[in-house]
Amino acid sequence: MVAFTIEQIRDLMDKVANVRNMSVIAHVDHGKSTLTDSLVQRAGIISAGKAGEARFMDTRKDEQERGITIKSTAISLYASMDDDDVKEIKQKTDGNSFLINLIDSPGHVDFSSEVTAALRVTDGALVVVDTVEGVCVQTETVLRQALGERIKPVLVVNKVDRALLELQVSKEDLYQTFARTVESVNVIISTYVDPALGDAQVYPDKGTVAFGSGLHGWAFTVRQFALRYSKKFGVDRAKMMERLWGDSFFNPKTKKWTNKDKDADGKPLERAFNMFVLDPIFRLFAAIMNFKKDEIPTLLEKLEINLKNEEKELEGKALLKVVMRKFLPAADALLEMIVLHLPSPVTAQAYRAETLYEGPSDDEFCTAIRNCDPKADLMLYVSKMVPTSDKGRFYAFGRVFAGTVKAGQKIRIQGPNYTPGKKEDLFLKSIQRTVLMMGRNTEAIDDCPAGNIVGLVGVDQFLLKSGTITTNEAAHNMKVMKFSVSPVVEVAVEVKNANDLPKLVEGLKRLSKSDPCVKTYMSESGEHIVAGTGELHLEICLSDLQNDHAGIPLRISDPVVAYRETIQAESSMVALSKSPNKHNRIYVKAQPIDEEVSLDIENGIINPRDDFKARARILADKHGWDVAEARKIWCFGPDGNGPNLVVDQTKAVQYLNEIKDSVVAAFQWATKEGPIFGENVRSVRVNILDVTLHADAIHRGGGQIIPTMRRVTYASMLLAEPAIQEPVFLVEIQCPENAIGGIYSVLNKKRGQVVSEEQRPGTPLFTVKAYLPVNESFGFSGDLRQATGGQAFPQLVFDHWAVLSGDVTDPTSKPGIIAKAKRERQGLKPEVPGYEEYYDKL
Amino acid sequence: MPDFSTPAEHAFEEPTPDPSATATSASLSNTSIPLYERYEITSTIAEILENGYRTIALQFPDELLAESVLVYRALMKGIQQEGGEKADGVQCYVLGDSTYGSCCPDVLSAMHLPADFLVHYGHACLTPTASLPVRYVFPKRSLDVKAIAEELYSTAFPEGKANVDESLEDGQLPEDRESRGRKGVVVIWDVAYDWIEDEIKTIFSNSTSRPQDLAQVIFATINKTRQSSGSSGKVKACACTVGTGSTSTVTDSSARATEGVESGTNHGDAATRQLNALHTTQQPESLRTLSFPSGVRMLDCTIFYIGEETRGLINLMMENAENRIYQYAPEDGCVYPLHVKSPRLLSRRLFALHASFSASTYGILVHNVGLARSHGLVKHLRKLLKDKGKKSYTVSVGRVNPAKLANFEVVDCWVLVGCLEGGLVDPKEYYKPILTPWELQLSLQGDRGVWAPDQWTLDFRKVLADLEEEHGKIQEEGRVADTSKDGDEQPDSDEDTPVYSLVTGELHSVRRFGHRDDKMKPGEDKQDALVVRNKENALAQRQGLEFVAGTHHITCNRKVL
Repeated sequence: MVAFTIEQIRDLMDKVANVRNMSVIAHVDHGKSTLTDSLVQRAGIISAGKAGEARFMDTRKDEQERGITIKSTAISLYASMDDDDVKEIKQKTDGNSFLINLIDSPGHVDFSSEVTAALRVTDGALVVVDTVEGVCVQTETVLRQALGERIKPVLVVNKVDRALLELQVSKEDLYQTFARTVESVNVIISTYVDPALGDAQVYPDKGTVAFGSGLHGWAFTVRQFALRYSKKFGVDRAKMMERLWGDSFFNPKTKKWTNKDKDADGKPLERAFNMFVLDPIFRLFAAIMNFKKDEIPTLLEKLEINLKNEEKELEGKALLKVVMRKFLPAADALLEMIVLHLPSPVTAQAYRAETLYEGPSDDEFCTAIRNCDPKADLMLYVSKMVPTSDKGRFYAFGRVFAGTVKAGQKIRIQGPNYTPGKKEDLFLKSIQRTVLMMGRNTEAIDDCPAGNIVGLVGVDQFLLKSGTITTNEAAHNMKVMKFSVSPVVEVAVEVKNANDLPKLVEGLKRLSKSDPCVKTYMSESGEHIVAGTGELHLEICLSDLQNDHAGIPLRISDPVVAYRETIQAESSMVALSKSPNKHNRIYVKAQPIDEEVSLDIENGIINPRDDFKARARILADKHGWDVAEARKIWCFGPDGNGPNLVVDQTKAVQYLNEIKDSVVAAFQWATKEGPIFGENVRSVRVNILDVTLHADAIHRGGGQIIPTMRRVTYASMLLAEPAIQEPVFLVEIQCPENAIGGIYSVLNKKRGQVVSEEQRPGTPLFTVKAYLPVNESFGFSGDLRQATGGQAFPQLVFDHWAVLSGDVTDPTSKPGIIAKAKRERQGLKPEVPGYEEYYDKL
Repeated sequence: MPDFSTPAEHAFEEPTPDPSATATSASLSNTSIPLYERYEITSTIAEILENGYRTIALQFPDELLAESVLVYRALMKGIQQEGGEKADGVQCYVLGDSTYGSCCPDVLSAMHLPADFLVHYGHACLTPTASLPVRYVFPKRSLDVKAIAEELYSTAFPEGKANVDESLEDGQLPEDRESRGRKGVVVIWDVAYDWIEDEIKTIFSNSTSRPQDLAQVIFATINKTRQSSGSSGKVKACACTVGTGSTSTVTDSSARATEGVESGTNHGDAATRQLNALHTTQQPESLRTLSFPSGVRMLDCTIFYIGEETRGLINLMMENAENRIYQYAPEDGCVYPLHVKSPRLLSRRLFALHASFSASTYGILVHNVGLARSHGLVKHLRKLLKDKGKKSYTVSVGRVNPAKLANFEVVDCWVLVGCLEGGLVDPKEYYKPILTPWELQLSLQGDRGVWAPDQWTLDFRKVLADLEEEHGKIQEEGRVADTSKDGDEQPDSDEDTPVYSLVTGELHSVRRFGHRDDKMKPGEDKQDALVVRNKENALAQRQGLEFVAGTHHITCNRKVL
């Protein structure tokens, strides 16, 4: 029985202060989907018996089969709270019914982009951490992303049942484990927190940490126990909460609280948390799992747990589950945390507005976002596309940040390349329908006010992956999402039957829509390329492509790595190229860009769309650039936003501005296909030192300048110690001690570099971190499994670009071999050209 | 005008082979053969005299210009000696720098004379030209035909047997490319070996290494009858078409005539009819002809090519991507299996095709105005583009190079109407994609278009046939659209739906020009189709001029009333 109606939900949407948009984020296999089940169950969508096993949010067949989440899935839930609880909410509220828009996200690193898309439309995050495994690489990645988006986290320490049943830890050990986990999460939070978010750290004694077991469907916060005991002790609840965590002890003899772990006689005292919180749980576990039938009823009575008759018949784990679920229902603990501690859209948009909006932070649209104003002009960000049952069509999934979106409304669809006042990437359309996303189902609604998450029908043809929807032509775009992963692993796909080609093209388009991060394109040699973040991502994408989007059999090449071309020194001399008519000359020098600057560009901190003065300020203050030079950045490349720059260093050149467009166009072209082997260029700054132009405009048109600028860029790069950069994964492997030897031998074979190796305190597990070139990562998991007898599972996440040492022009060196192979595949001359090919003598 | 002509430096920079090198490798300078024979002077004189030509243009490629004076003298002397009074007023001219590639007869320059006969020396691409009788004098290179035949046969049929798979039904192709083309062999040679045609024919037919069960050996004969004086019938036919259009090209004048007659009917029909007229002329697309015995298709054969790798050979590979092709390169004396490379070449074309999907403004690049049918083809391409709501400019730039094309910033995609060797250029250096007419019509078909690599062609005839079909479809669609419009206003059509470009992996919006307006008033054109036409032509010229002035604001769909 669904415990709420769509009308109820729709009514709540208008009370924005009672809406909570949140995502569930964690490392893979830490139990997000399982935990989410208990919330879905509370809402009556699935039965209690199924919760913890159904993984309702895993809507795809392969998700259920593989047991991992691949796509993020949204659901809207209705919750009502006690008046007592509502009183404790520190932000404005309206009544005691709440609407929770929840997004369950995948935990595997390869699907980080799904997390990014989920985070954009939510304000709070439920971070799930495995008690045993602790904070892992992906926990850190998603937390970092969440904080970057100014999203407030709360923590759930999950799989406590494992610690109790498998590891049989003592109470104090368990407390220490909890404390460590909370601490390591807080370390990450304090590292990446945005000052605008305030104190985002999590505290068990403030009720922002829950402990529990998603599988068994129970969880608790310190606050819940404080509630029980505050009556008993007659102490204020807030005070009780403080006493139930940390170095706080209770002396049962004196009935006094103390912060020393020994009493006056030097006898050890039991920690309050252990005594009041863990003790009942431990006793329940011990009684039920050891089949102490006689103890159980008294315990249950004491804890005020009433079982139904048929439930009394159960034994062992089944009984434990029922009892724990009644004792400490997970949904209660989670809902309490979500409603009490996560911000409502009104609260969150006040501090998120400036990070969400590209335009000036004082214009009417940014103000409307800040106020979460449902009557203002519409500002909606589409963060991803969700496939519909109708093949090839998608729901545009996004969040209304201001205004109200209605079916039939005339809207402006602004793609990522839209700039106000221009027509590029802009479509004027109307919305066909608005829907509420409910897991695998949707429910039609008439309209949706600011602060809510919504699905739109009828805009999918006009947006590829994401975009802004507005009603006012003066509105700028919402900021584009930056992904922490990049598609560095590529395969070429080919149809088995030539007649299927149009289907493949359509399929590639759909694939590209359905995944926020996958890249599909055609290489110049006519190969169809699918690029993903890792082997698993590619595997999923390709199976979707074959079975779903294109529906045709494909031939798939071995994976190859997307390299970058770069330089390692300043050009050894000024590069000069003359235009085809010999009347124009461009003099440039190339120099490498610092890695930090490149990263800032790639992460959108230094942005082509920013005001040039603000940009120059960052470059000067943070990276030590000369302000005058930094203000004269002509363009970024490739695609207008890549980590390569053209800087104008000319002095008093007439007509210079007239050739700017041609230079920009040429630079995009040159950086898209570099001189070494036609890969993207990275970290190259081209300084235009001087330009000689013909006095007559017709002699310095695009036809003259574009090829010349391209040539001179190539020449300057080839004069500046050209090199190849390869992508490198950060590998995290958790394993028992005896498997470490195997890990090392596999890493050694694959050019891996171990960064750290440490034991997780309190467990026999070791965590090994290493850098592994993506090129070597193919089949890495398999090799590792073999070498360690299946005890080690790696997590690979793109970390950085590393220069491949060796001379690219030497065909026997490692980079030389790579360059030659790629050039041959593209039908180019096998040798990397010398600068002379592009250099003109004066 | 900048960049509309080949820059003056071209003469210095073009890597002209120095004369010593040419003597060994390229060209006519096979010094073992005397000049008279090398340049076919005697037979040329005979042809001139027989047909009574008075102004003769001699076209030499750059590397042969050195000998042009000798040839000129020999010819003039011969004409004076043999012609008697017929020779009075007969004058030969050596054409200098050719406007287009030296592989095509430079009809345009010849008509400036105006010449009534053109002799083309050196390598030729064998694309038929209109409006002027042309005599080709090919280079003459020597060859050890016997050894080549043996080597080609043994490479292509290593087991010494053609081994036709009997299990396959007629017309069915085996999956594996290696086992295809077992029914026959097609032998194609570079023009430089045409003088030993007979030797090639006999040796290849009777070679000892020829598999016993190989049914057919077919030779691609170079059609000299049309050019040479020997069989004058066809030449006469050619000459008399020239008669009607002494100042303009044949197609142009005939087109105008057609239009005059059909001034009452509408646009599209006129175009179609004219198309038919073009068809009936029955000119071969290449001057190379292949005649297949019944039951054998090109697909059933293995192709042997004798000659160096040229653009022409690459095009041959792409047109026959399904066949096995073996090339004998006389320079290195090796046999190369080329068919392994053709799929890759074709996929590069596919890339260009995809790059064109997001284009809204096209440039029709006329590489050579003298080619038969090019004029008609350009017209039809223009019409097709207009029907599809695209804007088009027609540009003729002589030799094509990246700098010239990059001057036209508004053009998103080029269509190259050129000869068999210049009809396709390597796109690597170019800023915008360059299509062939066949690819263009495929690209404009949108979803209906199916990329079928085995259909790829440079053959104008086939393109014209396809175009005709396409015109029919457009009219049909128009009719359907019109009727549906009568009922009720069409819902927000998907015309401005952005196109997903595989090349960039992004969506692009494609602008459409004047699509709706045209359909709105179908009746109005009827009265003055003729006027409309002429205006359109005039408009095209003006556009060209305004381009030069650097204004890019002309719209093609200016109200033509």
